[in-house]
Amino acid sequence: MTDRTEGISERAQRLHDLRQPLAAILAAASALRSNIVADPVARERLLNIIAENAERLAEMLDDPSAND
Amino acid sequence: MSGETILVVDDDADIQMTVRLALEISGYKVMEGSNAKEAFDAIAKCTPDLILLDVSLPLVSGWQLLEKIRSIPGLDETPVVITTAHVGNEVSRRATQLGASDYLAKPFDVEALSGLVRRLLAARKNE
Repeated sequence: MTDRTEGISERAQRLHDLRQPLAAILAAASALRSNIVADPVARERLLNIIAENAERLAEMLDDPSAND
Repeated sequence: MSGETILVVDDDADIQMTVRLALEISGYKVMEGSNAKEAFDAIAKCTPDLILLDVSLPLVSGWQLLEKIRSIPGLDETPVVITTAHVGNEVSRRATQLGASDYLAKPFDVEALSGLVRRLLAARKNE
């Protein structure tokens, strides 16, 4: 693998890793927004998913190794 | 309520839980697996009507799992939706090549997901 293709691959992997918590946040937020989930306990769990994954995303973005 | 069974294969517990809630409220029965083994254990218990399959699974990738699913009689024409945080033409090409019905890029909206599931199951009924 050349340095260039390796760089592209690492970048693709980094973007993939960042999309994972983002995916959980959007899925949970869209479920709450659409009101398809009425059960208060389930809604609370979705809110926790949003908060926890936002924290995870913030940690990933604060990680110096993510900004090489 | 439609009552069809959807198998959700994703190693992210939060995505799995959110998708399950959305699909169950839409009237579907949901089985879950976080890897290939759990997916096959679920399939052994009940043949799913549709499979949501994440590409990035540990040990056996979603692509490899899709190939195995397609080789099983009774599952060779079951709708399979690939979900992936990878984007690009390669994902689309590979999904089509391996016999996926469609693919959904992460992050996705659960309403978009429910709509796609509904359309694919309706199309299957009309075949």
